Amino acid sequence: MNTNRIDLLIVDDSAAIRKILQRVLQQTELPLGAVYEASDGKQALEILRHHHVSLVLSDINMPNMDGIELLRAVRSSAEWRELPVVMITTEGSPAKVAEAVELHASSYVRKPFTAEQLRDKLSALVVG
Amino acid sequence: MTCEMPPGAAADVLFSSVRDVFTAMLGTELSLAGPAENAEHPFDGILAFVGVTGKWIGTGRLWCSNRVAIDMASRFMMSSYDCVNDEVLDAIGEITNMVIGGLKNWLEEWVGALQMSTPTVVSGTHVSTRTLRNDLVIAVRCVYPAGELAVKMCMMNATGSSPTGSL
Repeated sequence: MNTNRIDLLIVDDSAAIRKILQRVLQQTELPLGAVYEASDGKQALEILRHHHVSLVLSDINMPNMDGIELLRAVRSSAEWRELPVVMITTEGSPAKVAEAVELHASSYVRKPFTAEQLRDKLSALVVG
Repeated sequence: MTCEMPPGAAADVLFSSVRDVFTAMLGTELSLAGPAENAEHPFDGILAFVGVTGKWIGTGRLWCSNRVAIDMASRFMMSSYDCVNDEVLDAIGEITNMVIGGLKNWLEEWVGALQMSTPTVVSGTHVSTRTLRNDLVIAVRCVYPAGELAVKMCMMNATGSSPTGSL
């Protein structure tokens, strides 16, 4: 574990989106460390149990365990309660956004996004 | 359940959704080439579609030539592709998902909550599409430096009542 670097967990059922997020983040000046990938919330929880993760980027709509359920599990855990979780999705329904806010999502990024928008959101979390 | 949208507004929103995806994630501008109906004839290339369900149900689709699909995927994935492969198909599926998602978010104000399926992408020659029932058709044809693409959303009211507005 390197405390100066961001160990990132990307959770999305789309391999294409996971790859794009990695490439976009590599273009930013964020100090990325390990980057882990999960295709649903269940896989994400497994990774969290076995690896140090300092930031989670998660889709909302996924099979098996969606992003809201993942967020709920993270926030109800003593170990991960303070872990920054950024929801990133095309989902724009006020109910879903409200649910994510209620569960203390750290931030919310709507697809489509620019590299700058993503960098700014994550920088604010890392610096803040 | 009624559908009292301002005439033409949905097509404007659909075009804005395509433009937003292209500007933000493909790094290129595009412009409106006209309505998409005329472009829907048998074609060679890529067709991606996403199901939408709620009180209104239907399908959103995007179609383009292989050449345009390869260019779109290369921009989107920040890679260089020279043929249609699984990554190109995945990229077109995701682009379609975002484009239709943008329209869906706006449509929800008018037709209530909607859910989207995961995208399906078809690659082939002499591809024809046909929708068996439409209460609502929203379609645009767009052009950008690599070529043209078309996007169309066909929906029907699943509650049985008729839409009171036109598009």
